Amino acid sequence: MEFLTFITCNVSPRDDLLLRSMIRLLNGQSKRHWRPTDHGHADLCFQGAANPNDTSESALAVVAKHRVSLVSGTPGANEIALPLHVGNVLTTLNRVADALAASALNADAPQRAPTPAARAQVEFALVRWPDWSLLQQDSQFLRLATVLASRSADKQGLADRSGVSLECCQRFLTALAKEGLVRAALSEAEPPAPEVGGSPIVKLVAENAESAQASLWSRLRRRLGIGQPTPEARAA
Amino acid sequence: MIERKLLFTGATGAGKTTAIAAISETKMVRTDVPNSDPTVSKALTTVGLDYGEITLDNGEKFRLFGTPGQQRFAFTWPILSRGAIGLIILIDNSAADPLADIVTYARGFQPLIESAACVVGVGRLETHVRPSLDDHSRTLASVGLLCPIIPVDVRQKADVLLLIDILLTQLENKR
Ligand SMILES: Nc1nc2c(ncn2[C@@H]2O[C@H](COP(=O)(O)OP(=O)(O)OP(=O)(O)O)[C@@H](O)[C@H]2O)c(=O)[nH]1
Ligand SMILES: [Mg+2]
Repeated sequence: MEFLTFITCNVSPRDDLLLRSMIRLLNGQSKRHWRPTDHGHADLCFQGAANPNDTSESALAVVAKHRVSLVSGTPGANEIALPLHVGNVLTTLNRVADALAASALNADAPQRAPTPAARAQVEFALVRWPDWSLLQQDSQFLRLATVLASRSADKQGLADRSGVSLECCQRFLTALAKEGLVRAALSEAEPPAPEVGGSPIVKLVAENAESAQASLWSRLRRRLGIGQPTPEARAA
Repeated sequence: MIERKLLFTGATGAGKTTAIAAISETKMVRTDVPNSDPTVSKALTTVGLDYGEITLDNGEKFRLFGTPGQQRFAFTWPILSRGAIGLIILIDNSAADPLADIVTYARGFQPLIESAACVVGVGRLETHVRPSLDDHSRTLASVGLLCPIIPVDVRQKADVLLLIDILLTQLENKR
């Protein structure tokens, strides 16, 4: 498969490591395959400000078709926000891949404006249920797979809903990605909950049905002595 | 209105009666009779429904139903599905064609699976390693469904509880 290359310049060792591992994880979900390169030519350079006085050496020697700067405020065009978020990295990789493809078609074309999709959140969805051997790699993987099977989520969302640590979620997503069992899905930022009917009575009935269900589930758990409800269910 | 019931389904001998008996607090309403089907080496088979109950801490009864396994009773499935919180499919991996079984029940209960939740327990894997759980997963995906699939021995109460735990986790995490 043909791949694109990326390089980092003046990026802190921590962010450098994060970028590399996120991009490795995202290969398979991103539109194109990306590989790190250490010599001066790359399709994409992630430009940090870890060492602003670094003007002479490798930093300036990098010839990249695209540069994306790591910034700590609200990111503008060709910028990505710190702390790095896997969803933003995926969006950036895909935007640059699109731009590279477009400029290959028409060398004079202006850089494309970010699409609305660039503002959407990237979530991971299970392609199918993972093999038992994968689920046994960690005592939390069965729970994570169950949560992800019921609804796609980004890494943070998966951690929040499962009550499992971010590090473990990362290992789980990486293991899935290796097997081609996860795909990235774009979801627009969650819209406000739709008004149920209009009348307060209808709303109240809907809310009551929902909480009756949740309380049935937790009664069952208590009666059968099976685990704790998820943080979300507890909050309900 | 939400009903307080859970369904178990699966082919003859998959373990529905055994699973419900493992957690029911009432003595099972035994409808098993000597099996007259020469193709199934099984002394007893359930005629009609399995039924068990557990009492919740507010005094309400939670009901456990085992659907008739034989496909000729498939007409009862939509009726039984009404208002169930979810479905547990049991697969006997020593059966003639376990992958055909998983398709039968996944398709037969598709409306319930999509509106509620479902988990698949595959039994007798210790003696019949093929088809593998991954084969079952691919088969489910090929009919457009994604449900948790785990190895079980429903003679072990802990395995039945794990199936219910997974089912509840899915319900709690659905939108
Ligand atoms: N070795 C082994 N035996 C099992 C396993 N699961 C269930 N069994 C046995 O297989 C038989 C299953 O029978 P039932 O529980 O009556 O199955 P059923 O689904 O109710 O069958 P029908 O009522 O005929 O539809 C019982 O004798 C169980 O003890 C398993 O994982 N391994
Ligand atoms: Mg039975």
